Amino acid sequence: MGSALLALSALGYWASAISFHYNLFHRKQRDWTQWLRILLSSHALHSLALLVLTLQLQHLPVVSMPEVMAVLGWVLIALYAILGRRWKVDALGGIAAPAAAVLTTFATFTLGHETPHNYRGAWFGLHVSSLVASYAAFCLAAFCSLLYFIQSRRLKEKKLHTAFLLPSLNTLDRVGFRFILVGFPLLVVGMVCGTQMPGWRWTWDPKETLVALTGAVYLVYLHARVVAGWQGRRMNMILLLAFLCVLVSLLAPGRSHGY
Amino acid sequence: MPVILMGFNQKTASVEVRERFTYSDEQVPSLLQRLHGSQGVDEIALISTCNRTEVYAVTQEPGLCRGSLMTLFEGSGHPDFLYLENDLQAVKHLFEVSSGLDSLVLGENQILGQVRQAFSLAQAAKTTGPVLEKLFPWALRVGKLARSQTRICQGAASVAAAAVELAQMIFDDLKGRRVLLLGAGKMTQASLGLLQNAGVQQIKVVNRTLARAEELAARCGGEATPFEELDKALSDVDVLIASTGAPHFVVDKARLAPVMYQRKGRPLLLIDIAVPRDIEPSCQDVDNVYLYNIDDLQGVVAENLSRRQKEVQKVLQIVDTECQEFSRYLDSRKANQAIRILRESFEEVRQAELMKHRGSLTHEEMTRLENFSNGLLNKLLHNPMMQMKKMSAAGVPPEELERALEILGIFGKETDG
Repeated sequence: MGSALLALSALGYWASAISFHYNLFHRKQRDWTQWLRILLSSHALHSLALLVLTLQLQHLPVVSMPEVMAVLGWVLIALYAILGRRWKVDALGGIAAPAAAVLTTFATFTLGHETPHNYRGAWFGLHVSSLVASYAAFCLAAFCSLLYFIQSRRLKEKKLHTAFLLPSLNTLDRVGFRFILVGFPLLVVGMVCGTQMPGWRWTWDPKETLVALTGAVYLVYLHARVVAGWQGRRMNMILLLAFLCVLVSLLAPGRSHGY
Repeated sequence: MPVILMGFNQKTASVEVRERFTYSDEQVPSLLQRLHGSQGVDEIALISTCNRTEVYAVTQEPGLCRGSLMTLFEGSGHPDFLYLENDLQAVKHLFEVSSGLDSLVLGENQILGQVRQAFSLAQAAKTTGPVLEKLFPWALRVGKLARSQTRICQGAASVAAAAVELAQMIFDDLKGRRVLLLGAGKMTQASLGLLQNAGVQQIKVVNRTLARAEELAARCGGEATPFEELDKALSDVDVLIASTGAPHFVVDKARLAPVMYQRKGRPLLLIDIAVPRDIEPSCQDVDNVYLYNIDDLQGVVAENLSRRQKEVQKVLQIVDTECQEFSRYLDSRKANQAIRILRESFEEVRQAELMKHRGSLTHEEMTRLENFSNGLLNKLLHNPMMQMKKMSAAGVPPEELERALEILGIFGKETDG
């Protein structure tokens, strides 16, 4: 039942991604009402799927890679729908919707085929949930940076007729920063919760080391942005580099981690 | 009920003619009331802008109406600049006007407000009626439809507007942004006007001659800065508009690189409208710098206008479809009129028959007879009236319905009278 709902939401995300890009590139219009309707309906289905999974498993579905991917996709769209639209970066959905589609499709096909792991208590739940939420915020910040480079290139090449479809450079720069302000505290909470789990000690575990490195890169970004007041192209390059660290740390094997 | 359009626009009339027959909002109401009182004019509205003066009238006597409308253009000698359209052609023209197809700058938005204003003035002067009350809101709807369903109004259509649009793509909100004027050319002032309208507040003026900088600064409410402080000014502002008469580059890459370091990645928009150019083209390669010269901006405008041109067919399709819809509406009005005539004709017979018995019957008997005759009339007319409505909805022209009534000897009575 949970998998079927997840598959349906994945289909919905694909449909909304196609509808978005059709509107943007074919019709060259910023009327995204229909696309947003499909996206939010798919997200409702996604929420239902996660609820069913939680009831079936009797705990949060965060103990295996497919489950984490399903939750990551859900948080990604939730953050986009709540914050992204509030901060007037609707165009971000052009990347967020396909990303959620890829994550939920992966989860649909791999759910139930993975090696089972144990849910190791509340600290574990909080540890993984916070990290997943922070990764979703980092994803959206990276998408902002990506759009920043696309928009910057269009403006440099003087293609104003396509540049008007995207938010302004300043908006993208500002919103990317705001997503980091949301994601960074969650990353710290996630790391701290991890250290509270029974028997934990620092052993240079590759996954933990990479997460710490990711945190350090974001810290550099925040320092340069908040204390030194830097913005623009270089800051956005740091954001993309930091996101690369996120991806590596997410996929890297860990000695004390199941995935 | 025929609609008549009489008027001229920038394509048919020279500026000398246009300025002579352009009417202000204060003049229009009295003018409309005067024409409304003239022979043959049932409803009337006037669109008067710097590029067009057009009068739309509804009449049952087109010949008389045309004569009355001509008085508006009295003293114009041989008015070969005037165009005259009737019925659907007049409706189509108004729809094209509101869509921006007939404007000097294709797809411009101002005309929509001007059509709305013309309608409001006519309403205030009480010279509109059922047809214009439907036609003008319909035209406004067509104008909005054309702009939302096609790209007829997308992209800046002038160099100054392109500069503002560009600044908005970089900074989003221009409120509180700082602009540096380098030199004091005419184009600088045109762009500055639009930037100020968009919310730019702080303006710095730099010129080789400080006195000229102070003069322009005083005119635009800005602040004059000595030429020696150009680098400092560049590190503070968001937009630079350059238009000096210098024969060499005033801002080059070597000068800009340290400035950009001081700006800590804040984007800088450079608009070079000077010929010869003031800003070295390679400045474009510096991170966070966006350089546009006059050719770039003109190129953007030309591209936008050519894109708008490509949308004309789509807008014409919308106009044609809406014209047909409006024509159907007019036909349904005519069908309703035919139905009303049928009903009134039978009612006349009923009243005549009732009159014959008034006096010979008691009050109670008379009331029963009236009720009976009314019920009978309703029953008898129900099917023909329903049939006429169905035929009208199916697209049968109202003339055929009128012809049917004529055969029954009903319609002729009214028209002859």
